[in-house]
Amino acid sequence: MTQPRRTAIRLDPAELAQPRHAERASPVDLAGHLPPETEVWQDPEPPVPPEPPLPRLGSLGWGVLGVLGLGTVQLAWWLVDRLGQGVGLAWLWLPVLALVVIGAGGRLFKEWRQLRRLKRLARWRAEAPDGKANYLPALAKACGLADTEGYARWQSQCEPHHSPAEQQALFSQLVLGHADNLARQQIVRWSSEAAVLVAISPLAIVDMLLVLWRSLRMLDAIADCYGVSLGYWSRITLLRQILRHAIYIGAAEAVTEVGLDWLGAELTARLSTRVAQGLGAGLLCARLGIQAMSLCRPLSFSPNERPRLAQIRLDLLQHLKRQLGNLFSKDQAS
Amino acid sequence: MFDRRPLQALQHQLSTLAERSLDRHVRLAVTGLSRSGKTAFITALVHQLEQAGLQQARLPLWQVCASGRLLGARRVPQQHHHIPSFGYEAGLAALSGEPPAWPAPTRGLSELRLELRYHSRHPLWRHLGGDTSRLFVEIVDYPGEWLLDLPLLQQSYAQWSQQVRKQLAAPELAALAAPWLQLGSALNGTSRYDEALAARLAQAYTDYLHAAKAQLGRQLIQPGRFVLPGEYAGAPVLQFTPWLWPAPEGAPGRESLYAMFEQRFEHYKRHLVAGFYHDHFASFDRQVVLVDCLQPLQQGPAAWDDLAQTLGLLLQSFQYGQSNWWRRLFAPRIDRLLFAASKADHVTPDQHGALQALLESLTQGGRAHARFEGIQVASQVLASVRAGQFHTLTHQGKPLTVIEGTGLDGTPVALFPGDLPIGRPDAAYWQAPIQPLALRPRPWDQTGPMAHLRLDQALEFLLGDKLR
Repeated sequence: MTQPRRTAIRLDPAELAQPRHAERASPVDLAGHLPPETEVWQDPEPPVPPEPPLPRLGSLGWGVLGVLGLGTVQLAWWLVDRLGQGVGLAWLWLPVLALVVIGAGGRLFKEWRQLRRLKRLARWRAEAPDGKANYLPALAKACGLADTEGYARWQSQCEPHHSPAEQQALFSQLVLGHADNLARQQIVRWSSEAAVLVAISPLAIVDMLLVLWRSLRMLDAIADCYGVSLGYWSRITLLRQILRHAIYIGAAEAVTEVGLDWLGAELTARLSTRVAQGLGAGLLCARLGIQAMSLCRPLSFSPNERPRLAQIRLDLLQHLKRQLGNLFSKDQAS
Repeated sequence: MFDRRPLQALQHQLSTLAERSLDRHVRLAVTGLSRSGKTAFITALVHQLEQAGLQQARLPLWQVCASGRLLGARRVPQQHHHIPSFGYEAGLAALSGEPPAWPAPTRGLSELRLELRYHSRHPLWRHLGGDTSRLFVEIVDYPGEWLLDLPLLQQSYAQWSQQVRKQLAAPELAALAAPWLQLGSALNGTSRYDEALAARLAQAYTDYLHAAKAQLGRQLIQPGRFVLPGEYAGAPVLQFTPWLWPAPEGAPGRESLYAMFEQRFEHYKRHLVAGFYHDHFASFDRQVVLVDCLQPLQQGPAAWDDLAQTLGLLLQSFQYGQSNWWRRLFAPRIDRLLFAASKADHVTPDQHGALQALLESLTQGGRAHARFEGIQVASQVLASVRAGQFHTLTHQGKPLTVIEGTGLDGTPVALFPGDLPIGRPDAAYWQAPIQPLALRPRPWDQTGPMAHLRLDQALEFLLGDKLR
């Protein structure tokens, strides 16, 4: 079951002609000087996770395929019919149709490739805890982080004695730390915009659309920071949440409007209610951003690195204060 | 003239109190049995800390340093003027010498004080301290042997003598103790006190303890101050031995040698042993216990069992709850305890897991008790200063990591020392134990901090929470 214990092996150090301070560069230099039965060990190529199998079609998939097939047949029938009749308009339809097919096909192909990459990332992430770290360079390349300064630092700081867990911790901190900061800035930016816009807009329906729009933009911006785009399912999960937020914000807007009218509140009361409502919308947006961060990040957060809503709230308030300050100083100047 | 000393003492106490109450002050104690690498550990730790603020710092897994919040550290004059200073300069000179050598071991208590400056993330500190916050770290070095004296506090002179008699049942120890036993063979319970004889007996007993340590690798030495007397070398309080000859019937005569030995034993207990716990141990906040697991694994089963037993005794010092009197007497307050297996560069990296498992099995009882006391405990495998380099080669078709370095005598070495046992070493292991390997430090080119192994994680555990 277990391997037998290995006992000591003494090599001749003279033959292992050893340049000083060459731990990282050494293996290549050693090659000519080794005892007969030893040679420099080459690390095997990092394992490329196997291609994910083709997705199996559920009943929904078959249904969609069937409808699509029927539609195509119908379309072809219609075209042939028209062309046979020699009506000139049908000739105009042809390029439009080709454009649509090419566009949709390209889009689908792109989606499919993205989905495959995301699956591979997910597989890497799932593998991460059980102790192989030589997939990290491939991961960095897949996320477009291989040219960053952080990656270079990671490579220089990693030493042979670091266990896979330590290498991952370093990777998470040095390589992904910068991306984390960028993502956090994006969250603050988009959620503060959402806050301001919601505070200004008077209509519930406008509020809802605003939150939808800003949140979607934020998701893409965050995904960009990590060099990935969101997967289908994670996008759906987040979208559902966005919708829920939008409904909440719309309802809150409607209730405050009606409530304030009933109570006959003064202007200042109306203003402060609006500001509070805007802030609430901004915070919901920020919370969503944090969730998007942990979905997009190729390695999961360590407890120390996990972004905290409290911290982002502070940043958000500061950002808003600065923006409002700018607004007022402009007013005074004009 | 007006005497300012009391006032200064008061001021000093107040400032200490203020720093303590603001949590800006950590007393970090480092201990371990002889040759476990205490001096090298402290020298390397201070060296790394002094370089931690610079660009080329090598502490990536220490959060505060990795995030760039640490501004730096410097040595500052210590506050306890009666404690000898730790010989940092001498240690560094040895490590960076030509050829590099390990620092000379220290033989008693010593101390060193550092001031760390950092950007705090805590809103309160940011408010109070402006842009930078400070943390004072006092590193205290003391021999682990002193902790072995703790059980003496509960023993009488007669009981202790009885215990030593039992130990001497082992023939190899009895052989070493023969000169001492021979010297006192004519003694009995009524022998009169003779200063010269007492000194000779004590010297013979001390020689026996040294021999047991050096020749048999025994670590369980009582009383600990005999081999590491610190400032008490040659003092009468260390001139006694256990009494293995006919004991006096009834109460010993006042002039007898037995009575004098008994008195000195009691004095030793009360002033040296209890005094150490009262004056020093009770003030430690964090404790590092360094253990050299490799040497006994090379020496044999007797040395291994001795290490296990010794560590068990040593760790009793962290079981406050077991005896209430102890808590009442010293009120210790250590809240983090780190067990570190030193010299991790003398085994290959794939064996570090096994080394950690060995360390944990050795310290099992102590860790459980310490955790029960509310002390946070961690075990780590580290090397303060790198002596060996790792190379991975193909040997008979399989990857094999060898350690390459320079032996203490200057000869180059390239060795795979063998696998460590998994858990307690069994008979099969002792058939082919790991190869002894003693390397000297790698030469230091002075362009950056010295190479180490996992000191950053030790720092994270010991100081990480104080530098938030």
